[in-house]
Amino acid sequence: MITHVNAAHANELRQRWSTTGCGCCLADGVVAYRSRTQSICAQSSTEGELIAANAAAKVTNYLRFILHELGYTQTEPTPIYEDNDSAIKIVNHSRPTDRSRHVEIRYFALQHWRLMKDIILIHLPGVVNPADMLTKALGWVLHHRHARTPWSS
Amino acid sequence: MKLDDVFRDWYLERTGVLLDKDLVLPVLRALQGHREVAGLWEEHISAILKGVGFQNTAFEKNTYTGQFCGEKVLLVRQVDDLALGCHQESMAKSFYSDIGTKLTLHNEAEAPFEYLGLVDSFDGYGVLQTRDYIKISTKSYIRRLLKAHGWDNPSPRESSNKPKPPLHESDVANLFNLAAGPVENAPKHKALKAEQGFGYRSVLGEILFAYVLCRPDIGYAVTTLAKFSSAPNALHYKSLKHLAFYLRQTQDWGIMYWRSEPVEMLPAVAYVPMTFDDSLPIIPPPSHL
Repeated sequence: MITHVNAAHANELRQRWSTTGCGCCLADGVVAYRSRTQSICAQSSTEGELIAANAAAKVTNYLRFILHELGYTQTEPTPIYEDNDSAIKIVNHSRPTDRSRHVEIRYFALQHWRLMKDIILIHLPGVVNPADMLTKALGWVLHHRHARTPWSS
Repeated sequence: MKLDDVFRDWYLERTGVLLDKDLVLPVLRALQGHREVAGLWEEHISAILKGVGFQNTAFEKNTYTGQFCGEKVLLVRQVDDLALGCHQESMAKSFYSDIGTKLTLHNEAEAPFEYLGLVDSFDGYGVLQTRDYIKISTKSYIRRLLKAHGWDNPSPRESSNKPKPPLHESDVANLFNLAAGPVENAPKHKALKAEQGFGYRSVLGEILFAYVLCRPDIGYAVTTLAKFSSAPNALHYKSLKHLAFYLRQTQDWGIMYWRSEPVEMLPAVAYVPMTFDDSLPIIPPPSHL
């Protein structure tokens, strides 16, 4: 199982909230997806991505539980593909920076899940990350590319 | 219909009047059954499924797993529709007869339960099972939606052009920034609705259902347009209609789940990449095929 996550920073123009887009896939097809305006105002794109990664990790963990109960226990940590380098560094290297210390609980939850080997964050550029189309309106070429690629590739 | 105790209790609870048992109640419409029926049915079917070795998952009450005929099988229950995931059709048939016997009441000759064969639709999805992949789509639902609004015939120009994205990039800022339309229940709101020829909320709800079933590609468009459902203006109506037309052009799209190894007994269907524009590179199916 793998998960893609992406966030668009401050694209809700009334309150300047960011948008979370994430999708979990199994057997090359997406099984759970979400496109949603975040409920708090992220002050940087890294913070927005961390909030999105947290939402994606929650869904991922939930699917891991279900797969375990159905007898398909996941032995490896589930990769979460994310396109923001600093968010990845913050989680994978346990290094909060001055500007991200205020994202406390979500950050510690991600840390915990990473240490428990439930998830691992991996970098994937936005143009090939299919969760991109869940966060913003795209032009035809990019939209089409995301929509028809198998989510796992 | 004679009054029974359950109805008298319900009436007493609701109005405080205890009805006479000899009263006769005319039935004008079909009754939906008792309130507790759903719970009783769930208890009943769960006990039967437990009896044949199924166990349900803690979070999803409608998903079961179990050993059946020595193999691991999965089961989804949508109230009284059952879908079984297993390797051999014979297993599904023996499962059907096992459950059928248990569901048959003492005064019935045969089970009130039908064997529908290979799943081709379940709970609103269309399901296509082939040797190499399983595809779920909402084609029939989208067609029904379009037909209900009289949008089912594409214009000749549209079928030759490549489809546009579900939401125009250039429109997004205007969607947020233009003044909100008349609020609900205002006379102007009704006038705008009559002018556009459809209800914003109802069409949005219908499209939302397609999104939830298996269309992640319209996710951002749907959630964005949903923000304006209480006071849409003419541009919001236009964007929503455009979204419906996008669905018309892409009604075959769905989600494909690729098998790790081909299943020989199912028909082979050629892999057709979802594309309208030949200048775009065709993305091959995953390498393990």
